Amino acid sequence: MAKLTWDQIGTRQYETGTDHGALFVHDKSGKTGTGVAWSGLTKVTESPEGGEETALYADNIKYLSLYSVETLGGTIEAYMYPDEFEACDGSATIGEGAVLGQQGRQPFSLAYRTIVGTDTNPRAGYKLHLLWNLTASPSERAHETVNETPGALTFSWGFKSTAVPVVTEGYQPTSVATIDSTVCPEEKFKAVEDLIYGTAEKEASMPTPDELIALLKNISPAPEV
Amino acid sequence: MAMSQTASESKRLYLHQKLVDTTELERVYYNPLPTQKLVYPCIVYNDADEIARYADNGMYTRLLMWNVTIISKNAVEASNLQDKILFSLDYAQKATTFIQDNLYHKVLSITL
Repeated sequence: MAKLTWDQIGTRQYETGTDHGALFVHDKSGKTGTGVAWSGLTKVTESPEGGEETALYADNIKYLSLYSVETLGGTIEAYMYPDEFEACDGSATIGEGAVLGQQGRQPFSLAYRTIVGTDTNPRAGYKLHLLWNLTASPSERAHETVNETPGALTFSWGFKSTAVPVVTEGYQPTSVATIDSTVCPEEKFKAVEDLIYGTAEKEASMPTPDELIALLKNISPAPEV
Repeated sequence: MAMSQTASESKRLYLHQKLVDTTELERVYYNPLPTQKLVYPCIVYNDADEIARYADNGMYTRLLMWNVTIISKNAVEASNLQDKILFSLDYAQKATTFIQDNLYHKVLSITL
């Protein structure tokens, strides 16, 4: 029997940062469009909701617990956003450089990276985060006069997700996936990354959860229902 | 080989031109050497601090700060020049005022 040890050199792992945001706006039929780079990303917060317990009692004991479905919400913060995101933020273009607010909001999917570091290697790898079928909520924008303290407006959007179905057997509908480059085989990770961020030959595209599972498990994607 | 102009040099040149245009002084010196003979009234400015903003796991933008010193033999002239700069440049702040070698010095901090 091996004795447990803690905090060995080279095993002190942490996760930090956020970059390489890619936006995939859904079209009217719900298909994800071509990916566009989201520059100026400063923070992505994932806030799972739901999964709350409802306790049922019988025979003077706690008989069983029922749990509500888990959903994903969160916030995106950035110094800027790609033009394509305007459709997701309730803006409709009415002419060059002119938009009308308070319009319908297109759903979107998002991919971004976080750094995985260790005590011996601050860039040991990174995690790819894929978020599906999000809808941005209206959010406050405080425009302030220039004063003696330089500042830049940071945009912030709350979002809610609607889980997309997963046809592959054994999985429930989901809105989120994470792939860790320090664990995932290199060629598989690269295949996912090439898909999401595109290559010189191929446009960036967001895989469905089923396509992702198939790619990572080397199986044919399950047919759509 | 000609060096390409960096973003910080572009900002400095913008500041330089703005100081010249605002004060209508031709004698605007950037980092003058101690041996350089200054003719008054004049403006001397030096690099100070900088503020970095981060996004995408890197430095996204950089705000540069300069200390701008108005030097004049006339106190009213120095104040007028200071006011002109304060009203024409965003993020211009009064820093300090002092007299040295019978010259009025008004120091401003400017961020771009």
